[in-house]
Amino acid sequence: MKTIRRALLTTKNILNTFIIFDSVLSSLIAFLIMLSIVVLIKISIWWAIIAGLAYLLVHTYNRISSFGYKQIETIVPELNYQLTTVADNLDKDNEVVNALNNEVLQDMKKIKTSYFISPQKVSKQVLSIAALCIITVLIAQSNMAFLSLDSLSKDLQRLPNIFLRGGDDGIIKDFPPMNETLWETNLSEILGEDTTITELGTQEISIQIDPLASELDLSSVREVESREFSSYSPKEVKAMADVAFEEQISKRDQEIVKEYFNELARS
Amino acid sequence: MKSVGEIKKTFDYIFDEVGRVIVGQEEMLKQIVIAMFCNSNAVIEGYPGLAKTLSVSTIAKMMDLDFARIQNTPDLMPSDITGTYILDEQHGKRVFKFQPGPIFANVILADEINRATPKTQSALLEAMQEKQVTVGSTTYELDKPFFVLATQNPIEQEGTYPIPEAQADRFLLKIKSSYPTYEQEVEIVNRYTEAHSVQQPRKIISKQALLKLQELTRQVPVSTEIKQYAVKLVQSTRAKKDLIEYGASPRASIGLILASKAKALIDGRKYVSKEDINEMAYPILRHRIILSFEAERQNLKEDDVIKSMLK
Repeated sequence: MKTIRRALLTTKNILNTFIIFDSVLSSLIAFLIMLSIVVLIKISIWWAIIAGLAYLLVHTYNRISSFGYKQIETIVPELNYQLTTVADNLDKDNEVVNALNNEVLQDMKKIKTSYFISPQKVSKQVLSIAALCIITVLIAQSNMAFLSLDSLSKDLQRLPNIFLRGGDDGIIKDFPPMNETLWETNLSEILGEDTTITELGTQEISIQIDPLASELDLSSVREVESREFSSYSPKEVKAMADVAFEEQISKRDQEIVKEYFNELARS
Repeated sequence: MKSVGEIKKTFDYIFDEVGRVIVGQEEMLKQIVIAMFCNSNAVIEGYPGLAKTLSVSTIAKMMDLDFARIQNTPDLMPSDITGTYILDEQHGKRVFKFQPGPIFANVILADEINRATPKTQSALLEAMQEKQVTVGSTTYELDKPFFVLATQNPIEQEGTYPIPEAQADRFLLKIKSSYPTYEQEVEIVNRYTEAHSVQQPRKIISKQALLKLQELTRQVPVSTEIKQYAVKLVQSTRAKKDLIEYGASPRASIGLILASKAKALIDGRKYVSKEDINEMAYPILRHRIILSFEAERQNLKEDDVIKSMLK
């Protein structure tokens, strides 16, 4: 293989390595963002993994396919137009082409790794990854959730069953049993998944009292006796004004008292 | 033969040597050399007195080439250019002998080509295209290298026969010469009005070296992207119907790449850049496009339209 061809191939392989490295870092950031989102909306972590992998593949493919010698020429001005010319004329062998190949081989030594990897960019990416990791851990630990997609999807699945029970006019004729209503499902948030004694209202409870453990004397329990109550209503009811009403209370005092009671009523 | 690395030095020396005879006109001289390196022909347009003839003859002397000048007039006959048979007496016998015309030189300067009749122009154009001349039933090969550098006067067009566009396409470049600057004109006056004689140019390269340079010009590599850009540029002359009535032919694409290669070599580079294409687009295309009425109405020249198409 010609020296120049080997040199071009080596350059391309090294650059592809840099591209893959950059893509991995970017994909990691994308994965962590997706992970935060799946934790917030409570769905499976596999969605984040799939999204991260898809991003890695697409990003790497696009960068590798679009990165050519033109980009190297942009970064290394000494090789302007020369690299693409040499790459497009590898099959030619004449005095001028050979002289150009030798020149390009010399100039390719000026290509430095630092031209293609920016330490500032890598530092920012690493810091972003660290920050996103902390945020994700905090979200998971605080059990923060904006929306439970799992529950919502279960609710949505039940919706068609509810409406199908309706008659010809679409009105629901009979209510579904209690244990199949939406409210019971939401109650699980408060009452928990394990329903035992908290379902007193929906299940029959069979209680047996142990006479030996109870202070109640069961032998003295009998039917309630019926009794007749006589009425003691007064023969005459007379209403009289109180002496206080005949007193000469000044209108100002009356207003004060009246205002006081009004204030009490308002408060 | 000079190595590729020494070519730039050679050109610098050539232009320095030409500069001892001709003041200014660097662009015109460069494009004449480009046409020579492409083994092709050029038409030079400029007002009288701009050293067109002097430039061509100087370059011819420096390259050790035979130079001939043809002053075109309406009464010039094709045989005046190609040569004719004359009756010659040798050893008591009269024989017809072919007397070669000025066309049998290496560098032909056809002055005011638009003043010659179409019949005479066609004799010259045939020689340009075929590099041979047919007189009677005999075909004579012309010496290599062979260039025709025609001139045209942009004024005094009355009674002239403009070269048809189909024939103008055979000229690689249309070179424009311009007036010198004030300082240059002062220098011209100093050189050509003093008692001492003007320095004559020295021979710099040989005929064989020129042929080798023509070969090296064709060897200059071009990237695919640059080739595509050149072709797109020429094709856009056919697509721009609002300003261009007739666009350039594929001959323009060939000429553009070839001229750019020669320019790159003269500049000391072994590759062609986009700037080379943009610079050579003007002399390559300006005589190959016919502007529409709309362009003339807007008072646009060929160079203005070409400039609008460049990226």
